[in-house]
Amino acid sequence: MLRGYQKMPNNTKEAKALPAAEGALGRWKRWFSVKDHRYTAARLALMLALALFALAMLRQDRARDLDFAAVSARMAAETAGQDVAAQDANGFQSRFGISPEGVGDWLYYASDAVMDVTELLVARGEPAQLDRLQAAVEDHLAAQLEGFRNYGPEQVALLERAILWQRGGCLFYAVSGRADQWERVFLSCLR
Amino acid sequence: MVFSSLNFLFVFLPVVLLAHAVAPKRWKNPVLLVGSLWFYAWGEPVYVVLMALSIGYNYFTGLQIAGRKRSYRRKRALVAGVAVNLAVLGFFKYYGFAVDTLNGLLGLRLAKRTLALPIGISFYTFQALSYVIDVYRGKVKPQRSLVDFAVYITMFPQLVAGPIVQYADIEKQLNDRGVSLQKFGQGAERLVQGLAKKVLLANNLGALHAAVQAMAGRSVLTAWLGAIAYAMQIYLDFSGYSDMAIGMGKMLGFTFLENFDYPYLSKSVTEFWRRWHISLSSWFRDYVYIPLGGNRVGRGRHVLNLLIVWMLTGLWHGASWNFVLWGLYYGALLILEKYALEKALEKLPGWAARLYTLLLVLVGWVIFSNTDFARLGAELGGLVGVGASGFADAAFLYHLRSNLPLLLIAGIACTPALRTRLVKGMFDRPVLSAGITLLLFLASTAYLVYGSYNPFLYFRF
Repeated sequence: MLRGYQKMPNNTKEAKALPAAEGALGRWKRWFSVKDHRYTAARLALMLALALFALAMLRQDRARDLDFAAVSARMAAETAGQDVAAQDANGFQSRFGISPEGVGDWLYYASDAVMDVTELLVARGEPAQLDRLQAAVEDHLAAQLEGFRNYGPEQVALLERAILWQRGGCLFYAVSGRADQWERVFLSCLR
Repeated sequence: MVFSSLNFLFVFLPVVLLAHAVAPKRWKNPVLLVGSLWFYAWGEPVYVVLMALSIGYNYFTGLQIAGRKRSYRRKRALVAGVAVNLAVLGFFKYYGFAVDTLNGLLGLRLAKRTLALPIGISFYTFQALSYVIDVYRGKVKPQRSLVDFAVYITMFPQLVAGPIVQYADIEKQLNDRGVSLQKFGQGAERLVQGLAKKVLLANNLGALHAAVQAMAGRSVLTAWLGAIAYAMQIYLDFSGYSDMAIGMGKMLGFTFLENFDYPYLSKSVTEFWRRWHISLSSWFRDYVYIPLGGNRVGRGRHVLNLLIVWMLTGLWHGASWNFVLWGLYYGALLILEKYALEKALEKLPGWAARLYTLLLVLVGWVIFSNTDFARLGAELGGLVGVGASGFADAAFLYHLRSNLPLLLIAGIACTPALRTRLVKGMFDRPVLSAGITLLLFLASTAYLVYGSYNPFLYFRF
């Protein structure tokens, strides 16, 4: 019995004749009996699996295109005229204590005035990342409440009505007199 | 899961260490593998599949390369292996960046999908690459046990933040490693030192840096204070993680190579990169720089080699143009030192050479920490007074006074002073040593319980 690829007949006619006599299963068995071929098959199968995995990641709901540019534009329009400014990564990190780099897409508006607690945060990412972000937002919110507890009744009232939720791969957080309106606008973008 | 979290320190680590300690020798690697997969799955359950597929692929690639006799067939298997690894890394890490760049450069409107970066993908892909390349070079034998190979790739102490362990350095330890009580104790001590560096110093420096960043108008000195805080934070954070990895490795019987050697004491940028993230520099030297010809080529080609290596080093740190710029900045400095400044730097007094290096490294960290180029320009300008609110202001004095003890301790921790003088002197006495380690552990735990600022700097690697 032939055990190795190297021992197979080199003559093309002979090589073709043998498999025909063996049948497809026999040819496959013979091909697979060579260790190198088994490795090739395993590598090809794993490469295919890697490609399918990558494709699956792309097609998952959480990676599906929510047009974040459009969301940003809508939310920018909603916050126009309010005393808030779009914050960059440093502004995000300084308030929530975590870096936004692992969050995927996000937008964050906050007031630079010390006594103004208005904030709007929208983020999209992996559930684990959003869980971590939500924990950070909850900490931040608790710290804000604690900070204003004894001398900022208006701020405390707004903070106690803060909206914070996570759904469909997105996180929404708002502290404002217009928080309900912002939430409605964001939900309309999700639909 | 990050090392500096209560879940890791009080649930995961004790369970895995105990299971590893009581397991018979032949079960130690399976136990470690299960623990490592548990560690990875804690925050990234989906990406365990990706890692498993990558492990399988590289395992068979190693076997196939080693099994082939003819060099062109071995090379073909290697090229395919390297290509698949780079494709996986490229897709999961650089897909969005590439789409953004193409859209920006060519005015296209390619749809961008948001893919979460699989934690540690840069580290484990580089480890896998080092393995298949070393098998091809005949430097190591292929690993026949899938479990042992999986342990090499997934080992939790170095999975998320390095050091990048080359297979050749750990090959023997995978099957033959001794865990003594003394080694375990040394490992625990190193783990606690790293934890304290990360939690007590780096996190507080990070809070100072964030506070400076949040200021609308900054004086020149405030800008420098922020840059210094960030430089110390990134060193103490990263080297703290490496200490923890090396310590936990020891507790499991492994000996990992050192990843940092007090880089801020370097007398040139070239020396800095021999002391900073040593495992990454070594990797690029062994698998990119030398295969490109290293310095055994003409001057023009050598310059090109350095720029290629440093551009890739920059890109490895993150999918953003500021990292490319950061890499090229160091490439240019190394070229300058090699061809123009080498002799002049040798003649400088030690303190002047160190100051020169520190200033350039601080500027480097400003480039590193700002992904937004407008912000980067403002930050760099702020260091030399452009757009600054003056040379010094009350905010600078406030931050300096409030953080002076922290800055002093952190500054000392960036040098070997603690280890060689204080610690060595005290740690010759085991009871005192245990007491200090316990104190550091309690302080770090208390900080983790009560503090909320615990950033994780390495997610993008």
